[in-house]
Amino acid sequence: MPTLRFVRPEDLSADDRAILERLAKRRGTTIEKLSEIWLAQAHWPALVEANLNESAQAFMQIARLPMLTKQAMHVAVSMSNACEF
Amino acid sequence: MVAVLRLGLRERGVTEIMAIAEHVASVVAAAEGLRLRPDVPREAAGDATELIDARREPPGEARQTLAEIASWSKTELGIDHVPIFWRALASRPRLLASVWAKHRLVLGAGELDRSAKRAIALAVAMNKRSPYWTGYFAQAGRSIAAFDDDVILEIAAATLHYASFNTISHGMMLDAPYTDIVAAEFAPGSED
Repeated sequence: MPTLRFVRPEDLSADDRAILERLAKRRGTTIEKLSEIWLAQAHWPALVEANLNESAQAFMQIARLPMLTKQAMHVAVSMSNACEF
Repeated sequence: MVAVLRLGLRERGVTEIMAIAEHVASVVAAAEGLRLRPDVPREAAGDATELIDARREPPGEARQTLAEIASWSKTELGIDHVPIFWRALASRPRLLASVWAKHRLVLGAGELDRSAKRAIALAVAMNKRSPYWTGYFAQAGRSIAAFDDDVILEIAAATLHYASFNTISHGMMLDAPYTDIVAAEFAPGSED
């Protein structure tokens, strides 16, 4: 169980909720269906946005390496960090 | 993990990834524990930091393995010396032989090709903050033309992202979204 209960969208300010709705739309989903890795940051939507932008540039954009290699790197690094998620 | 299954990897491929993660973590521990100076592609310069003398004459029992490593290093790393990591293990010939055999096995082509495996190994070495093995695996990728500066930066950027997300999931104690996974259930074309 996560250490911090996930935010309820109705508890956010209108501005913060708008950020999350925009990010969820970019991910092709709704706020409620965002992955827990995003929901875990969602008490501070600006951080979610910063991490989503960083993630897009650092990882998601396919450049020279095949996506299988990048995803395999992700699994290996996560394993070496003992990351269960 | 599900992402690699959706891209076509099977249980064997995931086990290959796990093998690289644990193998690189283990050789990083040994290299940094022995305080080995990076010597790939160029021999180490400056004051010695090593805890043991890796330049001493190896026992005869280690010579065959060291000769094999020398030959491999020439073709696969493009260097004319045996990396100090292997020379450091040589006073225990059976240890050297077993670690070398595992190294070849783990990094050899399987479900993942050797270019992918060298990228994975470099990412783990970066994440483990190993000057020795980042230099080694960067050269291993360059020597087979899998890496150039742009690809190495891409691997560093991806590692930055993994470290960030691993920290978030650790810090918030997120549960694994999937457990008891069967690869076929996530194979391309399946209806998960």
